[in-house]
Amino acid sequence: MEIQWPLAIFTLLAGGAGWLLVWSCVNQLRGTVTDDKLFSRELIVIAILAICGGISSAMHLSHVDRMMGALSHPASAIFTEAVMVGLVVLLCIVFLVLLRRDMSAGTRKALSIVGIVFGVVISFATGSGYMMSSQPNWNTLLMPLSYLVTASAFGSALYLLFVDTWKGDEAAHGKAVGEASKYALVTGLVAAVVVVIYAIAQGVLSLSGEPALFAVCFIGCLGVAAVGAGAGKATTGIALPSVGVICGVAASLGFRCFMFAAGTSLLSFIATPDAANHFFATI
Amino acid sequence: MKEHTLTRRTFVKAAAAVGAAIAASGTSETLVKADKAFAEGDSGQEEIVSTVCRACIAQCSVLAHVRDGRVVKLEGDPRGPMSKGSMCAKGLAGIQALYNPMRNKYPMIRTGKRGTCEFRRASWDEATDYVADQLLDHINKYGPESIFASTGGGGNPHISGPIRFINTIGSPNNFEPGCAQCYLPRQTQARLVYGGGPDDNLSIADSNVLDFYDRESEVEAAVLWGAGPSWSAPSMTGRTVADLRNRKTNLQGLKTVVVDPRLTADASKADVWLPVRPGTDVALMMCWIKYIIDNNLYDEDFCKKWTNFPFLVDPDTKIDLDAGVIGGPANNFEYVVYDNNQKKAVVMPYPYPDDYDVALFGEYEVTFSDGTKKTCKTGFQVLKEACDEFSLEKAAEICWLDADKIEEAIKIYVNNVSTLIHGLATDQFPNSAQAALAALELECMMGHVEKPGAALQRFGVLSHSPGIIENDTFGMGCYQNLITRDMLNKRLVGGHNGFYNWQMAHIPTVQQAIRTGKPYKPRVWMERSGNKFAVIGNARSWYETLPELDLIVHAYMYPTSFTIEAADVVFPLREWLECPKPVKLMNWIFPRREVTHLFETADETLYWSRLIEKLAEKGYQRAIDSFKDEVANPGKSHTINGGNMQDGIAKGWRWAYDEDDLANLFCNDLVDPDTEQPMSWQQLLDKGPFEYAPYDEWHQYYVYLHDDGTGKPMGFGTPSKRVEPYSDITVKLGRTGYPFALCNEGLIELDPSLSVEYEPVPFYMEPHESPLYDTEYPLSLTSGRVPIYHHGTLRNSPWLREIMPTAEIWVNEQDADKYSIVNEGWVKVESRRGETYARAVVTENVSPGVVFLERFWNPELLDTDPYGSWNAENVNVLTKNDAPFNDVYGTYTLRGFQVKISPVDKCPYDVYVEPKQFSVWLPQYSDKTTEPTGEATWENWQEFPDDDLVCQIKAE
Amino acid sequence: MSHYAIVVNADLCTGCMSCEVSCKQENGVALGQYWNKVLRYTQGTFPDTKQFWLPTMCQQCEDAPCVNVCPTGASYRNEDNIVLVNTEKCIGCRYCMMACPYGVRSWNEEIKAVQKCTLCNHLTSVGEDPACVKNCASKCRYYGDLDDPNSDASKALAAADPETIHHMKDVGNHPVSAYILTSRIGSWEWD
Ligand SMILES: Nc1nc2c(c(=O)[nH]1)N[C@H]1C(S)=C(S)[C@@H](COP(=O)(O)OP(=O)(O)OC[C@H]3O[C@@H](n4cnc5c(=O)[nH]c(N)nc54)[C@H](O)[C@@H]3O)O[C@H]1N2
Ligand SMILES: Nc1nc2c(c(=O)[nH]1)N[C@H]1C(S)=C(S)[C@@H](COP(=O)(O)OP(=O)(O)OC[C@H]3O[C@@H](n4cnc5c(=O)[nH]c(N)nc54)[C@H](O)[C@@H]3O)O[C@H]1N2
Ligand code: SF4
Ligand code: SF4
Ligand code: SF4
Ligand code: SF4
Ligand code: SF4
Ligand SMILES: [Mo]
Repeated sequence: MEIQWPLAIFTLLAGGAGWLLVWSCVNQLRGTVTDDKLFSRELIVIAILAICGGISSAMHLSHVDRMMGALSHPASAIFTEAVMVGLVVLLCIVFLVLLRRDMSAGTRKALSIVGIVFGVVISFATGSGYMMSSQPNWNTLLMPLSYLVTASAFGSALYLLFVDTWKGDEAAHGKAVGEASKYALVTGLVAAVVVVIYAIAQGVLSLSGEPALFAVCFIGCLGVAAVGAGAGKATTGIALPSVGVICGVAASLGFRCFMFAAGTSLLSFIATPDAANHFFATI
Repeated sequence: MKEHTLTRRTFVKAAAAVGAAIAASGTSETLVKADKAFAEGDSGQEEIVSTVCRACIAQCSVLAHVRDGRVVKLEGDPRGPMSKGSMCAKGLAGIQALYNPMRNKYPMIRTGKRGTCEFRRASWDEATDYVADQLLDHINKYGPESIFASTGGGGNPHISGPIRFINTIGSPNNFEPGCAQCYLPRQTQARLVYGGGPDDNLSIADSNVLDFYDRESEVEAAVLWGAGPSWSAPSMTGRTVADLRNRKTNLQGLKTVVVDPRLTADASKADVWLPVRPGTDVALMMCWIKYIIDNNLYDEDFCKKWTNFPFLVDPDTKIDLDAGVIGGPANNFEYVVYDNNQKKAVVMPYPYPDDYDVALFGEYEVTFSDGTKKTCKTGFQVLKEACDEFSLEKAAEICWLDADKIEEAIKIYVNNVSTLIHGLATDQFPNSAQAALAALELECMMGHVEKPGAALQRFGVLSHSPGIIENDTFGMGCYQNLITRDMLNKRLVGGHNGFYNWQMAHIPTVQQAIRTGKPYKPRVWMERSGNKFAVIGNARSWYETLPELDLIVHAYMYPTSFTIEAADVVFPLREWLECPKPVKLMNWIFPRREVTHLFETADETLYWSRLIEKLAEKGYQRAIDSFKDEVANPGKSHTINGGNMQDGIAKGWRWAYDEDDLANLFCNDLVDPDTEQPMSWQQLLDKGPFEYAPYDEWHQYYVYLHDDGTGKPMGFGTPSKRVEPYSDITVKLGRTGYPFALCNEGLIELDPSLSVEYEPVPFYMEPHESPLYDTEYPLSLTSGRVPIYHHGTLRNSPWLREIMPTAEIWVNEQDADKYSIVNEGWVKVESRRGETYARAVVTENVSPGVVFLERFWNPELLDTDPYGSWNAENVNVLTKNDAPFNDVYGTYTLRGFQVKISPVDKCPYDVYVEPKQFSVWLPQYSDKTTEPTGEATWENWQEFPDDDLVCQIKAE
Repeated sequence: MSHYAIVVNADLCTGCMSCEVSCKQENGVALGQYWNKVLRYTQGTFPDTKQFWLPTMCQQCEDAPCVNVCPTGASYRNEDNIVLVNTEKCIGCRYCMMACPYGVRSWNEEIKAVQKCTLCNHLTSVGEDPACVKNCASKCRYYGDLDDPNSDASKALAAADPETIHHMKDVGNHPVSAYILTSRIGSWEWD
């Protein structure tokens, strides 16, 4: 199947936003960095990413004006995704508003837990819509799981960038970078393993054109892990985390493209253009 | 509003004074009525009218939906007795043809060189005047034989138009790219052997084999020999064969044997498929004949009683011995046979006497009246000896077949109620007459004549049959009163006297005459059909001949390669949805209506009328005479034994003055069965389709057994009243032109210098270019129909082009490997005549060593690369139009000649391949106003004229 | 509940393409797009080659994935249980195209919506046959309610040897359309 760029970018951004939210909220719970300014910046970026993702997704549609019709079909994947984007953005807004007033620790904790759940769910949900019986290469839990893990690698890299460039208490900074780099190391490695399992289980690597896309994804995952490993030892300023983010994009976007390219419907009678303009085509 | 008014023809006025018939029609009527090309108003009302398709040679019944004057939808008419509600892709594309923005909209006269698109618009009056002047000029300087005409075969509803035209002006020459390469051999040979009506033969594509349209037919098996009904008329012949196959569940109905080099739709459903090597069919047919004789599988009773097989043959003349030669009654349907009961050669009376037991085989001594003795063989014996070398093994070797499969096929043929359907294939190589004869011999041997299930039938002969004017081609009614003995002797047939049956000329002989001036030089070409370069053998040889011609006139619906490369004057003709004509479909009459009518287009018969009228106006006597009823219709029709062979001048019909006159003429002596009154065209339209005879009266087997009124059976329409599979009449045809040399004197003998020798029994000719010897061009090429195009038509139909945008060549996988051809890749195909391009279909549907390619051309190149338009993807730049020709019919080689193939990256011409590219030809209904520029450049050719330009030629 | 569908007797189909063109004429399907596509298959090697055609169109799935994924209800079942697309509701997400197991939906560039075979609902709802069924040259397409034994489609199936009746591969969607193909003509590859 042709790569559906708007959808790939949507899921990239939404998943990245989700996992940035996860780690930011984890930090709220652990209290490693207590600077609400950093948290606010994170929340703003999360909301922007989610909104851009939503816009990108809408660009895929030709009649956005008819979106309201979806309200009557809450079971559809696109509806769930839209709801999740909305919830993430809403959560960010709620957090931002409460941060201005004095938020109780309990509220902060509760909302953080919600944020973690939302972040994980959105990264999974953006992939689960593609599980359909007609697409045997997609029709496995490993597929949304791969969405989740590649999003987590990307999100971890983003989080690392945030804490690494945070100018605050030195000790806290060191500790936070240490944690963030561990997240990156672990999510990068987990992502690499999961996508390999997916590719092998579905036997999709042999399909033409896909090994290259898979390589981009796989190297991206390892790249995030490597940056995680490297960043833990030294504070490196903006350079290394930026490389991490690039690797995260490669891991996540690479997987999405790989997945579209691996999409071959069960049978494709009319959609196959070749058969359409050769009268005696031998099939 | 501009009106191109045509002053009331001075000639008609003059003529009116002479003939009352003309005066009667000399009312003021419009020449061309036109409907607007766009919808008038927006009523949304839909009217459904019944009409008849003519996008191919079948004629399926159609319902046209018309909304506000525009045809918006076509569908099959369930009342159609032959198509039963089906309609094929070509017919459905009728809307895209009708409203194609590329229609020829008004007459045009060339302003630039041939090969450019430079023309100016002219009125009908100016253009016909211009042509008539040049015709007269040539007639005066060089005689009428300096003018020749040509037409299209299938698809042209009035194939006789150009014949009537040349007969009128006094020229002997008209040709058609089918003819010797299509139907002439099979149709003529059937007339000679069987003597039924013009359409009573073995060709299913030509709407025969009518028993197959009866679901109750007893037929159990059919041999489709070089015929592909499923693709050559999907909704008519294809439909009915499918219906018979499906009479019992899961294809347990009609059994079929298909003899065809490619796995066609029909072959893929066959019980036995014999993928014969192209061009070798006669060897296979002779093998079948031998097998059936050797194994005594023929219908002995029928052979003895109703064929000329037992007649003894004069070994010197090859002619059956008439009773007269041994002192019996001459010319009384009595012949010399050997009677096993009397143990001697005796006269066999008509009909067969029960106490006779004639010998079918052997040679016997005959004492002639003058006392001489000769040893004479029976006709069957001569045939048997001719076929003797063709054992199963021998045929298998020649034809690249499996001997066991051949035997299995023959068994299906002989062990069932069966018939042999003989398709076009064998008409397209020089062994054509022999194949036609051998196929008829098989059917006669098996007694498959007028019995249930048989292809050869004379349905309708015993019932009332209305005399509407149909395709009065095949040797009838085309102003025989205007043909002189001299014209017959001058006809450029090249010694192939079979052409006299259709009053046509031999294409290569005409070409030779143009090039050498011998025996005289044709100089003006009046062409009426599509793209001659796409359908004529060795098209480039014609391209090279064009500079020899002074004037070329093209009448057609669209510009084609021929228009741009050749035409000096272009006349716009009508599409089938614009032409009125009654159509006979079995025991029904259906009106084909003028559903709508666009631009200044004319019905093709009226187009010829206009030209003749101009000539008459200018005082050309033959033209003036041709409007006289007594010349057109001398009423002296004679036929041989109530069959279709004539020995006198046929009835005809005069040129029409205008549309209504024409439509009424077509109705001729059509009678309304309810009122028993003659019907006018308008009455037919009001009545709609009707049965002119009850089905059971019409559908009658064994017509030959029917009493002829004297207590004897009618017999067959042959000189002997028996079927004549030993074809001594073919020998006579060569020597004298009998029975087709017909002119205003009746049946004549051709000039003795034109006498040629033909054989009464078949013989096998190995293809002249043969894979057995050819190392340079190793592959045998053949062609055959694809279901979505008719000849050169419809390559400008978006619906059809997107299905098959390019020519496709079928190559077996082994050959593909050998010549590095990849599936769907472009291939260069070369023969000794030229090269062209096609995309490959790598397939197991043809044998190694055989490739298949059907006709194609590219209208998209007309303005940018006219040469490319007919060279890019055209099998007919490869085909062969030089000797050897068939002896009787002059057939040249369109199938079974040698080519080589090689891969190329892409077609070197800029052809359209993608569906979206064809949108330029989507129907246009426009209401914008464009001022006529007076010049028809490519751009304004494509302009869709507004209301003002839609023709409004009116009489005063 | 009714199950309207088209049944094709592939034993008889000659690949004449009349149904493709009929469908285009009836429904104004644009160039390059098809609601009905006839595909040609060959099996075996010369001279033992088999060849047949497979006319393909919406299979009217019982549990239609296209309806299930559609976010707006544009893909829906009408009161007769026929799967249709309401292009007025279609947002153009094309999830249904990804979800259809047979790739029989097409994207209409002009109106930016997904379309597919409607079983000629505008004709069938007034008692006519679909255009492709009417014009079919071999009369091998049958339309009707498979729950009604008197429909043309049911009768065609009843007349055929049960072993020769096939469906498209079922991945839980339960395609309703059926094909007749005898092994002498070709082997069914889509179970
Ligand atoms: N290589 C190769 N060459 C072949 C053949 C082959 O098999 N292989 N086949 C041969 C055969 S069998 C034949 S018959 C010839 C055919 O060759 P032609 O008959 O010359 O082919 P066209 O010019 O396509 O056909 C006649 C035209 O009549 C037009 N026509 C249809 N209806 C009307 C109408 O109402 N009015 C007017 N005025 N015109 C109308 C059609 O559009 C069509 O273009 O080609 C022959 N050429
Ligand atoms: N779609 C469509 N229908 C048409 C026409 C058209 O152009 N297109 N033209 C009309 C006209 S004018 C005619 S004459 C009829 C012809 O109608 P058919 O008689 O059915 O003619 P074809 O399909 O040309 O040829 C029949 C078969 O002969 C096969 N063949 C090729 N070479 C050989 C050979 O050497 N031996 C044998 N035994 N078979 C061979 C071809 O593969 C083909 O399948 O069709 C008419 N109907
Ligand atoms: S077979 Fe097709 S093209 Fe020929 S007359 Fe019938 S509908 Fe028209
Ligand atoms: S493209 Fe249209 S019909 Fe298809 S799922 Fe989306 S909204 Fe529904
Ligand atoms: S075949 Fe495709 S379009 Fe038709 S109902 Fe099934 S899923 Fe929907
Ligand atoms: S039923 Fe109608 S919409 Fe469906 S394929 Fe046939 S013609 Fe097309
Ligand atoms: S119209 Fe009928 S015979 Fe022709 S391709 Fe379609 S289904 Fe097959
Ligand atoms: Mo023909």
